[in-house]
Amino acid sequence: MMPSPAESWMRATVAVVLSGCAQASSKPEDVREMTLRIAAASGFRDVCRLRLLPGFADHWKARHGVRPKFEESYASSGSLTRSIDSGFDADVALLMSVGDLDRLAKSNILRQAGSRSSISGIIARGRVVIGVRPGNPKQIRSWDDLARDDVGVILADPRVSGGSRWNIFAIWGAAQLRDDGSTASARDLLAGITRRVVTFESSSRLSLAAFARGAGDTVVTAESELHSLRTRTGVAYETVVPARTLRMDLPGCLIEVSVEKHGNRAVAEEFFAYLNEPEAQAAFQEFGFAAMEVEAEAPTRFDTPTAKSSLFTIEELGGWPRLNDEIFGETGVWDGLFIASNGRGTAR
Amino acid sequence: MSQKPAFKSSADAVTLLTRGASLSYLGVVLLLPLAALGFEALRPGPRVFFEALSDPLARYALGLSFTLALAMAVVNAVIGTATAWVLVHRDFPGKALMNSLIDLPFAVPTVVAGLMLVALYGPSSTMGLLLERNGVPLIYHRPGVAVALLFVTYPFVIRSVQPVWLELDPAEEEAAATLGANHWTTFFAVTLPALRPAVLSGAALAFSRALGEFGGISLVAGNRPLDTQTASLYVYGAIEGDRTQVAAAVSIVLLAASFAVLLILNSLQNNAVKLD
Amino acid sequence: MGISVRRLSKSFGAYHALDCVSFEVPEGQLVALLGPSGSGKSTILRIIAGLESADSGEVQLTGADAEAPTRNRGVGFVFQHYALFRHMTVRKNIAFGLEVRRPRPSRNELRRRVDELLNLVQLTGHADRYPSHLSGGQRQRVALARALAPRPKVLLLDEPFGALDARVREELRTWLRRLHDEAHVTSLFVTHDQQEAFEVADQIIVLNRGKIEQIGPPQELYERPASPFVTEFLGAVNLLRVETVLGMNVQYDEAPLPVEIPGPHGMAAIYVRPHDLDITRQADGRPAWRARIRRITPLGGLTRLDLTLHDGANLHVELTSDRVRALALNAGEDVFVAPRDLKVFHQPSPFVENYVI
Repeated sequence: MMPSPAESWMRATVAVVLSGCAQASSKPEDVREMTLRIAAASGFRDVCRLRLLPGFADHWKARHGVRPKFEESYASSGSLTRSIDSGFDADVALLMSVGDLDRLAKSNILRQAGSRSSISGIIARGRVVIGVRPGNPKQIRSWDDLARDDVGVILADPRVSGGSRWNIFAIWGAAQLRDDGSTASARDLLAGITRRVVTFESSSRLSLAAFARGAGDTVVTAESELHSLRTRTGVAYETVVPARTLRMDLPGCLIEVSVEKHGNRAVAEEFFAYLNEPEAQAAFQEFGFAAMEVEAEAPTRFDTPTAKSSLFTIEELGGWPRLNDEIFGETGVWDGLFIASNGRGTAR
Repeated sequence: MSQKPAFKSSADAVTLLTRGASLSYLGVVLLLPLAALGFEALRPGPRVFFEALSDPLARYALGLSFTLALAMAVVNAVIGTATAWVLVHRDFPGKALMNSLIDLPFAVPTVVAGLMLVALYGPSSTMGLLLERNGVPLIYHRPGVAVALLFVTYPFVIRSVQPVWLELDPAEEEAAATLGANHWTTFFAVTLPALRPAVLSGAALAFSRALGEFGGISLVAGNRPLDTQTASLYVYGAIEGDRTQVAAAVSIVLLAASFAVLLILNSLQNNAVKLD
Repeated sequence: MGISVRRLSKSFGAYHALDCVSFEVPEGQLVALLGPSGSGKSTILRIIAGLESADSGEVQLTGADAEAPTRNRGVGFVFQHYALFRHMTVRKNIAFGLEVRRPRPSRNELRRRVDELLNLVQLTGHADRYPSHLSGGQRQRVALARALAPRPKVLLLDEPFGALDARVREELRTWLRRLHDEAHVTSLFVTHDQQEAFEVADQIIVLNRGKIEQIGPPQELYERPASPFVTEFLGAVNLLRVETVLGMNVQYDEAPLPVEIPGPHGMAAIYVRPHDLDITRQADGRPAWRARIRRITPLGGLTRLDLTLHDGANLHVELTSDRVRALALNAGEDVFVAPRDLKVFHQPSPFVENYVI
C-alpha cells in the first residue's frame, strides 16, 4: 500500500462523514458541495482507491477549488448491477461485463428523460490469463495444459459471477479460433478443463484467495486480478498468457436517474470523462488493465511485454449476448459439460 | 354484531389478543416471506417448476443435501447424546470450559467456520497435505462438506439432550439395575426412551440446519456440479445467475422436505410426551 | 441369615454418613430402619443394593458376600418416588425384571407371573395403563410388584410410603404387612415415621447420625429405650431436671422412687412419658408433685393436660377421658401428679457395637 493515496482516500471518507446530510439537492448545481456515488466491481477497487479517486479529486480541485466527496461501494459486478437495477442510487457504475451494462440499459435508468442516448461505454480493457505459482512448476504454457491430469484449476463460478464469464469465453474462443470455429473442439477443451477444476469459487476475488491458500496449480482470471494478488501477498505468482486469449472490454456508465436525483451532473460527467484521460488510463495500466488505445495484436501495453499473445475480442466470437446464450443460456453447453463428465475421479 | 358481550371476561380478551398478536407476528416474520417464495416458484406455472426440478444438476444437488442432512441427523443423534452423557455424568478438569466451547458454532458466522476448516485442512496446511497423501482429501471434496456440516450442527443435539438428562430421575436407572438389567439394557430400555423427544428434536434441528447450510460449506465444498455442489450452493448460483424461478423451485423442495421432517419428528415427540 | 451388615462406614467429604454400622436381619423378617432425615438409613439401603459403595465394611446377602454389581445381587428395591418406567405399561414394568433374565422366561411363564403379581397388588384391571394414569398408591403397588417379580432374595424399601397422603399411607402399611406375612421375603424398609415402623416391623433399628442407637422389637424399644435419643424419638416425652425430681413430695418409707437418680447437682437426663403420669386429688403416699392444671385438651378417648409444677416446670399428661371425668378436673385447680415410670440416663447412651436381634 502506498501511503499518500491511501491517506487521501481516507480524507475523502472523513469528508463524507463530516458533510453528513449536506447532500440536499439544490437545483442550481453547487460544485462545492458535490458528492459522487461510485459503484464499482471489486476488480476496480485498488485502482479506484489508490489512483482514480485521488487523481480525480486533484483534477476537480484544480478547476473548482474544492475536493469532491466520494461514496464508494465495491461488490461483484453482478450484485452491483442487481442492486442498481432495484434502486441503489449510485451515480457512476464501473462493471465487469457487457452483460451487466446491457441489463442496466434495458431498465431505462441510464437515459435522461426524452433522450435516446446514455453516457456509457468501455472504460478500460484487460485480458484473460492463467496465474501459476512462482517458477511455473507445472510448466503451464497453454489452455490445453489446464486439461492435463496433473493440473488443478481454480475458477470463479461463471454461473454465480457474471464477470468471470470472460474466463470461460476466453477458453471457448481460443479453441474455436484455433480450430476454425469448431464448437465441438471448444466444447472438448472446456469439458477437459472443468474436469480439472478443484473449486468453483463464487467470485474472482475468492478464486484468487483459494489459489493463494494453496488450492490448485492454476487460476484463470483477469490479468489485473493477478496483478492485485501479487501486490497484496508479495508472492511472485506468474502470469501465463496463452497464445490466443480474449480481450476484456470493461464498461462503465452514468446512472441518469441517480444523477437527476442528486443534482450532481457536473461532477459525474466530468468523472466519466476523466476516466478517458491519459492520467486515468495510465493508472489502469499500472494496475494490470490495458489502456483503451490498446488494440488486438498489440500486447506491449500489458505487464508481461515479452509474451506473444494474439488477442481476440468478444465481437469476433459473436458478441456477449450470443456467446452468453450459447454457453450459459437455457440450452447452453455449460451444464452439459458436467453431465458428460460425471463419474470422473478426484479433481486435483 | 350480536348483542352478546364480545368477551366473557377480560381474561378471554387477553388470551385472544396474545394469540392474535403471536399469530400475526408469525405471519409477518415467517409465513409471508415463505408465501412470497412459493408464489415466485409457481408463478410461471407448474411446468417451469417441474422443469427446474428435472435438471440433473438440481436433482443431484438436492440428493446430496438430503443425504448429508440425514447423515448429520444420525451422527449428531449418536455423538451428541454420547457427549451429553459425558457432560451430565462425568466430572473432569476443564468440564466448564468444554461446556462453554460447545456453543461456539452458534456464535461463529458459519462462513468463518468454513474459513477455519480451510486453514486447518486446506491444500497448503500440514493436515491437508497429510490427508491428501493418505488419499482422504477433505477440502473441495464431499467429506469436507460433511466436516463443515458437523461443525455447524454440533451443538444441537447436545443442547437439547443435556438439560433433559440433567432433570432425569436417576431412580429409574437404578430401578432397572436392581431388576437385573446391565448398563446397555438400562440405557436402551429406560434412559433412551426418556431422552427420545430431546434427541429427536435436536436431530431435527441438525437436519434442517444441514439442509439449508450455505456459509459453512461455500468455502470448503468447491461447488463442483454433480460432485460437491449442494442444494444451497445450487440455489445461490441460480440466484446470482438470474434464474430466480429455478432458485425458488429448489428452495421450495428444501423447505417442504424440512417441514415434513419437522412435522414427523414433532408428532413422534408428542407421542412420547403424552406418557408423562 | 437374610441380610448381614458389618462395620459399614461411609463419608461424603467431611460428613460421616455411616460410622461403623453392624446389624443382621434374620431370614423372613420385616425390619425397619428408623431415624430422622440425615441419619444414614437410606445410605445403608443403597449400599446393600449396591447402588452406592461403602468406604469400609461388608454386606452379606443370604450368607454370600455381596460384592456383585447391583444387577446380580438379587435385591428388590422400592423407591420413595416409585421410579416406574414411565414409557412402559404396568404389565411391561412388572415384566421388566423377568425379561432381562438370561435365559429369558417363556412368553407363557412371563404372562403367568405378571398376572400373579397384578393379582397380588390388586391391579389386574390396570395392566395396560401407563404409570401417569395411576394414583400414587397404585403406582407404589406397581413398583412393589415389579420389585417382587424376579423373586428377590431380599426386598429393600426406601421410604416407600413417604410421598403418599396419610390415608393411603395407612392403607398401604396394613397391606404391606399382610403381603409380607404371605410372601415372607426378607425385607428391610426405611422410614422416619415411628408409628409406621411400629405398625409394620418385626424389629426396629434406630439410627442417629450414622450410628445405631438401639435394635429391638417395637415394644421393647418403647419400654426400655437405650438412650435419650431413642426415648425422645419414639413418641412424646417430658424431660425433667434433677432438681424437679428431687423436689417431689416423697415419702421414702412408704414408696421409694421407682428409679435411682443422682443427688443434687448430679448430671442426668430424666424422662417421663405423658401417659406414665397419674393425677390424684389427694396425696396417696406415692412420690408426687403438686401441680396446677393450666389447660385441658380433650382428644377423643384421651385427654391431654398441661400442668405447671410448683417450681415452674411444665408437664404434659395424657389421661383417658373417662379418668378426667371421674376426677372432675378443671383448669386452674391444684392436683397431685405422680410418675409411674421414670427413665433416667446418667450418661450418654452406651455404644452399641454389635447387637444381634
